[in-house]
Amino acid sequence: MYRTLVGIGLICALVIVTVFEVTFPIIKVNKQRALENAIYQVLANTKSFSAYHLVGNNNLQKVTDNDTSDIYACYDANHSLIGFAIAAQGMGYQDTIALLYGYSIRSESIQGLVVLQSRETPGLGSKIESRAFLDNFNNIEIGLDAIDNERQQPLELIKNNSKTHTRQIDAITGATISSRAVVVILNRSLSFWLPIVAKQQEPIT
Amino acid sequence: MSTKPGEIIVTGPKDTDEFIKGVWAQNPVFVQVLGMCPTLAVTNTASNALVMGLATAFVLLMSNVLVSSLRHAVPKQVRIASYVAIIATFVTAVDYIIQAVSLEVHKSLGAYVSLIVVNCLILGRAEAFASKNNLKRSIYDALGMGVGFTLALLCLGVVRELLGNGTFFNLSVLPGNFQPWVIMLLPGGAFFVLALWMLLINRLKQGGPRD
Repeated sequence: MYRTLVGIGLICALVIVTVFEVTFPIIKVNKQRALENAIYQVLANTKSFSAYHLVGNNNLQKVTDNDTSDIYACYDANHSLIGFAIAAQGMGYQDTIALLYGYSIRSESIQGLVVLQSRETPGLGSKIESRAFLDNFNNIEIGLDAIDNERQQPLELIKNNSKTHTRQIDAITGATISSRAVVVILNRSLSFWLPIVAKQQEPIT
Repeated sequence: MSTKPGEIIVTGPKDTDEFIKGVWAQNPVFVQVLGMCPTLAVTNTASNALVMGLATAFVLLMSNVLVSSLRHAVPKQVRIASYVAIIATFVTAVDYIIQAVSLEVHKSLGAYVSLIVVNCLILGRAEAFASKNNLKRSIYDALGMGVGFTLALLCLGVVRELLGNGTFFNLSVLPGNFQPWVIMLLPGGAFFVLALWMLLINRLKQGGPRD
């Protein structure tokens, strides 16, 4: 009996290891390409980027492993820094929403937003991935030193197309909770990262 | 075929009948009503339904092949554990393969690929068929059930995508002023479409409408 179970275990392990060995490099390339596409979408003119993470003294340090990073420095064709692509996530209506947005340090503004992962209600909450909603997040000016404490909320959710300022985000009709989730996630991420970027001591190259 | 006491020998039907059986007479979704979790959850678009059906069919085929080949070696007491280990192996493999083929598809199927492990259709075929029949018949059985499952999922997926989104495999086919029925993309819509298909198929089985 044990011999059979061990035998089956061995066959199974062999199958999994073989498939993993074959597919792992392809999966890695796929993930890298998906990340690249998202970054190029949120910060136009990006030609290359590198992953950073936060170290002890609230400074950003370059890392080689792209998978676990939350913030990516983006460079233009002349290798000079144009801004950051920042990943943020939080609870949506049904499940975690993962976002990536581009912050340009040249114009001190949010340049664009993409939804990396969402499982919002099809037809309603899923519209947070629609062009009409995401266009709210093009060119929102927020000064690097505008945020001095974590409670500040740079973006505001409004209803009924009454937008008068770029920092106001039009909620999707029928999906207020999903729209609010996106704004809350962004506010939290902005009030966390912007002061860190502003106080960055070592130059990012 | 060697005869053992107590073994039931099915004589008469040809091996290919096992295939037809899975597609029509004992269709896993419309007749046996097995595997309802993926049937209702990931048939919101035709392409999701197709990938889910093919993934399940692949796992079904591979597990039937292995279970059938090992049927004399596996002791009765540990057979379920062995089947689950075999099924889980191929589900893991399918999960990696889908990620390698397309991350987009993997994202849209979500947790449902891993949930193929507990799809009672697969364990059901391993226990009820592959463990009692030779390799060839088990392969026909898996192919029949797999194709039947895929076709059933496609039936649901095509209708739901068409009415819920106005598209067919992501191609716009309905006129621009068509107002999508959002309910069709929600779980409730899946129940409606499934019920209508079962109504239609049961009618056809009974030989057309009766007075």
